[in-house]
Amino acid sequence: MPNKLPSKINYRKIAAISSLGLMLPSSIAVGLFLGYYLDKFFGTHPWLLLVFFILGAVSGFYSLLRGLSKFKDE
Amino acid sequence: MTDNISEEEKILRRIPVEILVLSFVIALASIFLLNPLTALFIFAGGAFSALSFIWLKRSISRLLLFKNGDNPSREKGQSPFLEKKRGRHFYVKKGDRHLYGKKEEPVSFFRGQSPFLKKALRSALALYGIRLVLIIAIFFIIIFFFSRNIIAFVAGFSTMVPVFLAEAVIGLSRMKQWKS
Repeated sequence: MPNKLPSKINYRKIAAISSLGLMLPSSIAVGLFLGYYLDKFFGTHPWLLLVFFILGAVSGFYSLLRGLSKFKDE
Repeated sequence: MTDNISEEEKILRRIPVEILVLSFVIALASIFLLNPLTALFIFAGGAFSALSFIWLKRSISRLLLFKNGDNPSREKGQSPFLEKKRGRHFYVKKGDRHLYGKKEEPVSFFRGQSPFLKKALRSALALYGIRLVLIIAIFFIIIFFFSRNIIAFVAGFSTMVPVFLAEAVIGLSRMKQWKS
């Protein structure tokens, strides 16, 4: 047993902030990757990249809003 | 109680630094493996990711302040939100005083459905929305002028993911030690 117990950390808050923080970048990243490779495949550079980036950003922001409202209600 | 907050704050403050360090390491490796411009974009993505995490944290702290605080008061020299918390007293930035009504009197708020929470949420979202517009503008610039390096920027922007994973593993291991 350790000499000194570590202070209890509120992991719930950290987990909430981390998950909210991940929502936007992950959605943007997925949209950009999809758009980039679809553009390469269809030769439509840069339109599909733009479209999927916007879709990713909007979906990320939407899920962030949902996460925040859930966070607010808890 | 203050120990809890300082521990959380330590972890939350450590995350942006770790994102920067990780993106710097990846950028350094890609100077030799790819090219310096790609390395620059990876580091820029990491820096931007760290910045967006700090912005999000501030927005959530603003929200939490209104959710948890029940006796806010103002003292000179105390700032910013949730960074310093003594017992149940919160110290608020000058610009946010209007949310509390009178200046010097401690005002009880967020009892049940308070309009302050709505206002706080709205202001936090508005600030984050402005920052989101900035993020989108930067992505647009990169897409139009440096479209070949967009993947490098996104790779840097995604360094947040392994950092969170590492922090989760560290947290879990600490919890296990604490219980055993």
